[in-house]
Amino acid sequence: MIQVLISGLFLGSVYALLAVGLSLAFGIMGVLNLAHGSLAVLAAILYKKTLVLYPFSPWTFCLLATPIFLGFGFLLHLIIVAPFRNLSLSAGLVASLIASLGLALILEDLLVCWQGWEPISTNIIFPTYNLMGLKIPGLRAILLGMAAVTIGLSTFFLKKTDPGRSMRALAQDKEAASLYGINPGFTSMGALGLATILAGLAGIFYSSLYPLGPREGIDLTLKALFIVVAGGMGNLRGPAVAGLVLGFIESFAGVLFTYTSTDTVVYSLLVVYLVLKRSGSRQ
Amino acid sequence: MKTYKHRALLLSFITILALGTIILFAKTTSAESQKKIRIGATVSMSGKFSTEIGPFKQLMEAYATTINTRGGIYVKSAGKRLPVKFIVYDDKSDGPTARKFYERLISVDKADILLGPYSSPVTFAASVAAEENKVPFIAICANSDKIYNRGFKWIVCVIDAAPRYTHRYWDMIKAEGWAKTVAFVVEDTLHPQGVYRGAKNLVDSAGLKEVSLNVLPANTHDFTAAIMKIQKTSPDIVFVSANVPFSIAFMRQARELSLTPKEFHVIHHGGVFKNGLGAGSEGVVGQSYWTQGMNYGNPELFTEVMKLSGISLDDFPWAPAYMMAFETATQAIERAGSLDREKLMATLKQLKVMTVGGVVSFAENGVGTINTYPSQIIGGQYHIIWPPEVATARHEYPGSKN
Amino acid sequence: MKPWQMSLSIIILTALMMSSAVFSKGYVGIFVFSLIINGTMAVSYDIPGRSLGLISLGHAVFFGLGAYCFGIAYSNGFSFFPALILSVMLSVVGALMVTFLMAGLNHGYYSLATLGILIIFQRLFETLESLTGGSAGLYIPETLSKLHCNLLAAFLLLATAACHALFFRSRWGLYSKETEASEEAAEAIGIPTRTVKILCLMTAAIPACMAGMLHLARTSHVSPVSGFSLTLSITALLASRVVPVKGLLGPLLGALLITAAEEVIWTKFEGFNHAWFGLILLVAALYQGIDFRRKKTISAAVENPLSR
Repeated sequence: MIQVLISGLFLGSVYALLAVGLSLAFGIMGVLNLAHGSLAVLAAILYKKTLVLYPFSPWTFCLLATPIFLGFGFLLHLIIVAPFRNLSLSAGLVASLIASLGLALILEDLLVCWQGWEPISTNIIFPTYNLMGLKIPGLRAILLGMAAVTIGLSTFFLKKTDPGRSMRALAQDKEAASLYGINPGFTSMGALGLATILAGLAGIFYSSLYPLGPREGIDLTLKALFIVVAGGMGNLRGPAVAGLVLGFIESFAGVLFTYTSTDTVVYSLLVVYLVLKRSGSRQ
Repeated sequence: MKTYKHRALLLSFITILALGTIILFAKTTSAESQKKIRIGATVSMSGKFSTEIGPFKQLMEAYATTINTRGGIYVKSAGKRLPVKFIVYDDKSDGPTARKFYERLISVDKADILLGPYSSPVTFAASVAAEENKVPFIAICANSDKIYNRGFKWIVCVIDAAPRYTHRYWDMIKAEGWAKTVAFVVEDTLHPQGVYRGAKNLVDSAGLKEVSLNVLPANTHDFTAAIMKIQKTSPDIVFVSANVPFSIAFMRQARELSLTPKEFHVIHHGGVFKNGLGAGSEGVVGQSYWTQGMNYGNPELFTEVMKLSGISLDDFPWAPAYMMAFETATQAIERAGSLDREKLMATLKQLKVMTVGGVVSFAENGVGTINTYPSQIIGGQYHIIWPPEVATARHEYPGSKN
Repeated sequence: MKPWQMSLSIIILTALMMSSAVFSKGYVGIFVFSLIINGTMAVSYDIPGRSLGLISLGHAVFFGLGAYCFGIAYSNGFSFFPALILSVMLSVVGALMVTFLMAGLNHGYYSLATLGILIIFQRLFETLESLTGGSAGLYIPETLSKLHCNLLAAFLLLATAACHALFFRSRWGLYSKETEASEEAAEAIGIPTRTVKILCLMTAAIPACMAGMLHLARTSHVSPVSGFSLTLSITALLASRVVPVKGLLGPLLGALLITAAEEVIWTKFEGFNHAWFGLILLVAALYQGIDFRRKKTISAAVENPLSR
């Protein structure tokens, strides 16, 4: 049972990392970025290609790749946020959705062209440790630690630094934030940059554990969207917790009920929870 | 005013595009030359099967180029060799889309013969178009019984039915006699389920005992509970009936959690599997249509086509099955001596042709004879291990390395 | 809707009706059928989309529900029309449950919850293998001639278009506009906002269910992925929004544009199909953004000439 719990923790950490970036983008800018998963795939391919040339460890590569993904985030802002900043909430959501879907489709073809059709699997070998009869796979443990550090650092950035506070202010009230001298364009660009870094790291972690097809970006986005729905939008803690819970549920699936009914149970619980949560908040 | 103009322009653009589409359909029909053999097919260049056969359009074009440089295929009724042209669309790994494009291949592109799409569900839908329009349809990687039990007259398939997919492996296990128990891990999709059902019967008739059955959804990410369940039964063989991504994720975790049966059998253990697991793939047994060293048919032609297409056999182990379909279509056209669809179909039904993977012929319901051979990853290379007359290496067991 | 827009809508509908009768077989028949189905999905999507401002990512839930209800009824021995009637009743009940759940949600939450519902149905129908055929889907033999399928689909589109026009002219259309503007204010003046939402969502759901039924009757196959399809939902969303014209004309033209563009790209372009389609989406989205800002600049200049 404890072994299953540990596996759930490992799986949940990857889900959590995948979801927090999307939550950040939706919460601060009201953008449903359907290219989030494709950016994760891009990062995975970048890592795989780099590994062929230089045998970087995951953490070294993550450090080196961070500025690159920040740059991608800025570029993304120019395409899916900046052109729609004057639209109403609803129109902006649709426009950013269409634009990000378009971008995801373009990225898919470019990634196939660059990487080929076969799934990306980074094949990093780490030993498995035996701890009081429990098996702790080295790679999963390292990725769990890195995910925790990344989410911790991002939370610290949002809560304790001025740019982070600006992002939160923007999420709460755009007009009021502008009155306080916060530049919405610049701040949202930073927020999308941070979200893209998180997507990139999630892609690297995910492909270290599971094969990831070059056209699986949109599937990844959907998975992340679900976690965001359960955890709440615009904060990091909620999706992180929801990601972990999802990891536990999936790991315990084979123990508590049949594997094949896992998805039905998970998604049904999520929608019931969502409806109850939103109905409650309305009253 | 400016906005209005933009909108008017946009509306005109839409109308032109819509009309243009219909006009283009007509143009294609008349613009196509009648002096080519047109072979129609769809390839899953997107969707869930794209990682399995995405670049196969290149394989088809490479085959056409190779055949055309040799003068083409001789057609008696034309009195000369005719060049081959493949017309290929992306079916998005989706049945209704495939059916739509097969309708297009028949009514717009006037294909003389059709090659099937990848997978049983897509083939099931696509073959209806061929049946309704009476066009010969050669299914390739689609061996579910459901397809061939409908009484269709215009379909044949180069490979054997799914339940017999692993029969050579179980023949080998029975002959070797070291294994007594099997645990099954099955991906809950059509082909792996079909292979499992067949394997289950073969296991029973080989005198082995099924000690654990785990059916899991295709998108399973954590196998801990299943692995622990299998560990308790200590099976001699863990038989993984699944597609490649599922198999990699399962095997990685099985290695991490020290699941050590005497042998892992993973039905699809191609190059992506091997590369994804690295050393963890060593000793794993799976099924292959062809490996270097097999000498059926014309392996040089196959090697040439693969080289020209730029596709690696390790990464796309279905390529030989496609090559067998090309060879079958070529032989059917030559022997029929005509591109008449009825003659072609009649010839196909009677055909017995040596291909790169062995002799292809068809049962009454259209099911073919080609089956896979058990192969093992030994020293990072694939080797056929059974039957002895085809084997390129000896079976190593217990094969799993920890 | 302006008279020229109404006239153009009628011309398009008439052309589709005629095409459905003339081109029923072969590839062109399937293409015309997909134009009509996409048109039905887009027009029905547009009803809550425009009136309540709700962005659904799961409109295909109703499509899949209709297809499966019909498929299951037909597989259990019902002939075409009894199966159709039974499945309409079943899918109306199903759709009512879904809309009842969704009616409490707004904006982003609604969008995400609809997506959730879509994936739940996908997984649910994969799980219920004995009834639905599992992940491989449900196959039924040809139940009706292709001509009849095309004609029925064309009548469905016509009926959906009529519902669209009538809804926006009815008091429920006005109520829904009020609900969109401010739910609290609407409730204060006595508008039953929840009923309005359910009615509006059901007006969109029923044609989508019927589109699913006819699609299965025409193609013989539905699977959880193709029935409860995110692509179909997004196509309906795009078709209803991509042409910035209000009323019936917008979704009709949008459906023509998206279906035709996709067809041309998938059959005429060598490689990079997704990229080309993505580029069209990107340009369409950017056009909306640019168009809006132009309007805003013009109106700002009119309000404050000194700003120039």
